[in-house]
Amino acid sequence: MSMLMDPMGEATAFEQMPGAKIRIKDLRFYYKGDVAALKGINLELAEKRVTAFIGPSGCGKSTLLRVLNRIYDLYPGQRATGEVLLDGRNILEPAYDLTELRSKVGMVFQKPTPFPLSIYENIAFGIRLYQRLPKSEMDERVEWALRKAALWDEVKDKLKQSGMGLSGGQQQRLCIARGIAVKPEVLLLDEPASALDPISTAKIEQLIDELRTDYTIVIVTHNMQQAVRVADYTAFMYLGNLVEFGPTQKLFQNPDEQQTRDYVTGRFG
Amino acid sequence: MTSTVSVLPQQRATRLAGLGDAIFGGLAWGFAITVLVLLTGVVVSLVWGSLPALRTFGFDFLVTTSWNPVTEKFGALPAIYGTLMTSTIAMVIAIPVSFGISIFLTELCPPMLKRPIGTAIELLAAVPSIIFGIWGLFVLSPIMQTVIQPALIATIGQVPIIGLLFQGAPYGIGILTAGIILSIMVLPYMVSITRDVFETVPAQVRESAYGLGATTWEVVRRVILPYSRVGVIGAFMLSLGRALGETMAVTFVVGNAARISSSILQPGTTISAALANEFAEAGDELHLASLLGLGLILFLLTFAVIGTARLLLLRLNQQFGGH
Repeated sequence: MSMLMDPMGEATAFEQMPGAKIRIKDLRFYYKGDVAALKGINLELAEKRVTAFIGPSGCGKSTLLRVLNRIYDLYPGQRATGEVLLDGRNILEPAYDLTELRSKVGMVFQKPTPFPLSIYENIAFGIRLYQRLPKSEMDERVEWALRKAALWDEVKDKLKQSGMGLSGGQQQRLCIARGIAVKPEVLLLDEPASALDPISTAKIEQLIDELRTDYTIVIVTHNMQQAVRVADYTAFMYLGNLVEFGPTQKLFQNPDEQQTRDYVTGRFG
Repeated sequence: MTSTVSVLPQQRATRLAGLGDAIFGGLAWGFAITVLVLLTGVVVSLVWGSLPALRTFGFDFLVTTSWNPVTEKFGALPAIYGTLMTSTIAMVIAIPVSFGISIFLTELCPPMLKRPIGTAIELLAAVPSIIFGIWGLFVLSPIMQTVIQPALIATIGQVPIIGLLFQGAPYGIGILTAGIILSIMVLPYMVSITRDVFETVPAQVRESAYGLGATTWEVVRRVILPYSRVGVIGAFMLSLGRALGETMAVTFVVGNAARISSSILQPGTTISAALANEFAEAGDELHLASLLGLGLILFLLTFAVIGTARLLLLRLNQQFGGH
């Protein structure tokens, strides 16, 4: 699946890391008080590549993801220090327009979160926040997003039905379609397949593979096989620290850190 | 796992032999049926007691406006009108206000203020209705008479058509004052139910909406309201049912005049106010029967409100699936 591995499986021929879409510098995050959930993260996320965050529960990987579109802002008391540069601009600046940020950085959650609207309206919801499209263009955009999320064929005859009536896997693809309908640049996926059956999981992974050419994708996953299957780069986190970051094949086959080796071989975690 | 599954049922079967279960089941059935018996009893006695009035006046009982114990002419229309009008005013005021409060409490309120405001609202629900009555008569009515009603008469009262609702002398007490008192009384119910319903929206669904870049207003309108629509309608209907039947506070401030005026500033009466006022002096049979007839109408009104709510919710559920 990964395009990074040469035919011999040698760990030497990694591509030059493309330009960074997001640069994280000395990021610290506090849920409340002075106890840091992230203890100074430095990381670059490559443009139009898939980066996976792995690590045991509570290591801070979801927290890190939630910083990237400042969804934590909803909860008073949670705060982040350091810098997160999106195309060179620090999104942690209070002055950074959240609506603009979230139009650029979309997010899909662990559990499917369709809105209690029709399938069509679920997609149109996000688009309407930013654009006034005439009906025909809106129809086109909705179809485009649903096709992109590999859901169109399954729902094209029931666009007016409630999105809550779909199966779990379909709901999750609907949420991904909703995320890409607003044409973001970065897509954050928080364990997008952990609540799904193997077939739906395979579809989501296939979808991620197709989206990698257009989007910078960051995925949090508990499933190490999934990280190997979908991610170009992988970051291993433990107790709020970034232990190791590198091309996925290298991190899994020949990690620099003993901790990483223990985790990816299943010796702890 | 497998061993407990295979052993446990046998043990249970030998132990109780079903006697306790039978007693418990019988009791539960009995209690449940008591509710039905009571309900039927209430309806039957209301119908039975109001029969003389219904026989004497027939359908006219519902549509005539004179209520005169001396001439023994009884028409329920003023009381029905007053009941519906005061409740409508209460809903018109309370719905937007309770929405605002609930949205504030769930979406905007700093955590520090959440508890005090929430507690204050629940305390409002604990105030006995007689207190609202006294407060309405001695505090609110004078304010209405000297400030609010003259202002309404001088402004909206001058507008054609709508102005008809705000005509006449400022009495202080009247349909509008009763409606305002009622709105204050139903507010805590509406707020606490709608707030609880808003809070059932899963955090991840809210986060997804905000995560798309929606503003608070957009999240409330497009996600939270549709998500909680059933519960919100339930809250309104429950409050409406309460407003229709509220007696003590309304009796204090509605004016107790069995007549219909186009202006909501004028005194009127409601079904429950008429009942409370006249039961003691209802000597002759026809008067008492007419009062019971009023009671029957109130019962049917409330029943209709709750029935409509049920139907509405059923339809919505079929339409949207789940929730």
